[in-house]
Amino acid sequence: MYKAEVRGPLILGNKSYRQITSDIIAPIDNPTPIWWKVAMGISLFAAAWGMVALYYTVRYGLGTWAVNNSVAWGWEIINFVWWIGIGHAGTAFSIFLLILRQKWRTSINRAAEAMTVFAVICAAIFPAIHMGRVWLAFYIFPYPNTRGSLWVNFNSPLFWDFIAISSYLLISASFWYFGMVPDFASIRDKATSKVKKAVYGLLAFGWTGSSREWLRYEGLSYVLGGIAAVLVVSVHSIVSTDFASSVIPGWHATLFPPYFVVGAIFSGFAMVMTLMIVIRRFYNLEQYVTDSHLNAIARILVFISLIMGTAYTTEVFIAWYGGNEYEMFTFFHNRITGTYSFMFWAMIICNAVIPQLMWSKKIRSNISALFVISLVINLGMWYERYNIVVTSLAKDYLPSSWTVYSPTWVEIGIYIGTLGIFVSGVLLFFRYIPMIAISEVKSVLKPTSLTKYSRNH
Amino acid sequence: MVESQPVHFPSFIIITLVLTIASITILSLLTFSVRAKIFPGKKYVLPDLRATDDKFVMVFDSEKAGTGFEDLNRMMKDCGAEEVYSKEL
Repeated sequence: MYKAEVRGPLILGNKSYRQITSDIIAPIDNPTPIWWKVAMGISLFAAAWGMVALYYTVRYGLGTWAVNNSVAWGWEIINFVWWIGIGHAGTAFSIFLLILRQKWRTSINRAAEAMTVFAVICAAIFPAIHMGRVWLAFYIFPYPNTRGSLWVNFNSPLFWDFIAISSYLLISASFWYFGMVPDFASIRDKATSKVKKAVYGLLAFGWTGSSREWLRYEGLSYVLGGIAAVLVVSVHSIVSTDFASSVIPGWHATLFPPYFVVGAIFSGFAMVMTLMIVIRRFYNLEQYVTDSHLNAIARILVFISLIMGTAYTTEVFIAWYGGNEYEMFTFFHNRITGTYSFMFWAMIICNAVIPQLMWSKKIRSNISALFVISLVINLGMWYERYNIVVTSLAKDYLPSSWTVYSPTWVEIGIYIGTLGIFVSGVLLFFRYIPMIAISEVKSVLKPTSLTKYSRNH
Repeated sequence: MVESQPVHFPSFIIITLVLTIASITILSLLTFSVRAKIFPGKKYVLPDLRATDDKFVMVFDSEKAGTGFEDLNRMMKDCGAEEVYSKEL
């Protein structure tokens, strides 16, 4: 009956296979741009600042942080959850969209997976350091030991976090790396310098692109994709149970697992949009990351924003409907109004209101607007985690225990350090690794004739 | 009064699920590496450098082709092959 074009062409510019390889490898072959050096300098400075803050934490102890008996979790756990959330998009992009046969993922999945790996690395710093004696971090690993044997608490979500995040990092890094093997082979075979040939040759693991290799490669993609899809849901559900399994008002809610998972995908997709707009702009890859791709991400963000709004409404409604005076206090006097009302309303406006602007096609076509909205979403998600962690701890059941939390320079420094590590990692990725999956993009190029797409350009 | 022991079983469901996923990942990677013979430091034979760029390459053993070598060349050209050439691998 009706044939509507859901998406525009995935690759613009009438490209041949050779052009695709050349365009995507160009940032690796070309000299390093000035803006890259400046950005790398700034991010390395931020990472160094973070290292200083980490040194202070390890050398002088957790007293350098502002956490106290009441607000035992502050910026560290906020940032941990924030980074893990951001890290979910890579897996969601690669794997959910792979399983759902969405071809438009091919231009985006490589950068999204890279973002996941660096985000999870940043996130993993926090559980290690927040336990205080970071040199004893191996205590979290369950093994028969000479301390009793003293086993970990298998019932604790904090232990489940360790298993889940380690597995998540393993799968994300593997999926990212093995996806790049054919592309490393392309760079190896086009390289003119011996050093480049040797390095990319080592990274390519002897890939020749034979039918057998491709067959096994596709099989591996689907197997890893299938099992990692489970992790996308389970990892952030486990992180949410860090809160939901407690008794703190505002935390003890069965809504938390789906709320956190959806929120994670929200912040992750927003960060992917930020990165893809940067890639398009600075590497002239508009013909691969088209307006149609950004349009698709924007539509997903609008949809998820509605779910987030529903989740916020549900939390408030259930606090009222349940009649629990502590829940009602937390939501109505400590979030909607009260000392922390700015964080609450910032969360609502940034996550549930501003993304609704993307209903408008005009906004979805405006790249600057999309860039700003994607940053606002991540800001909103940070406020959400602040809202959840600090407000509930600062004023829980016993008024005599109520206290104020305000981060120290050490905590802020660690966060800035993780931003520096993330941006440095992403910049290195831009410089040395093909930021779009060459072989996958070629697979969605529909040839109208063999000769047209294999001509030399 | 005898207190009941804490119930560990539900926690082990989560732990087992995640560890199963981690094990499957590692085993899949190892299986792929063994079956596709893809591993760091592997010596490879690439018939044509452009195979990893924009060409689809078919390799025939000329010794096995024997007297049919000329027929094969002609058939490939007739079917639209861009280049047909001999090379020592």
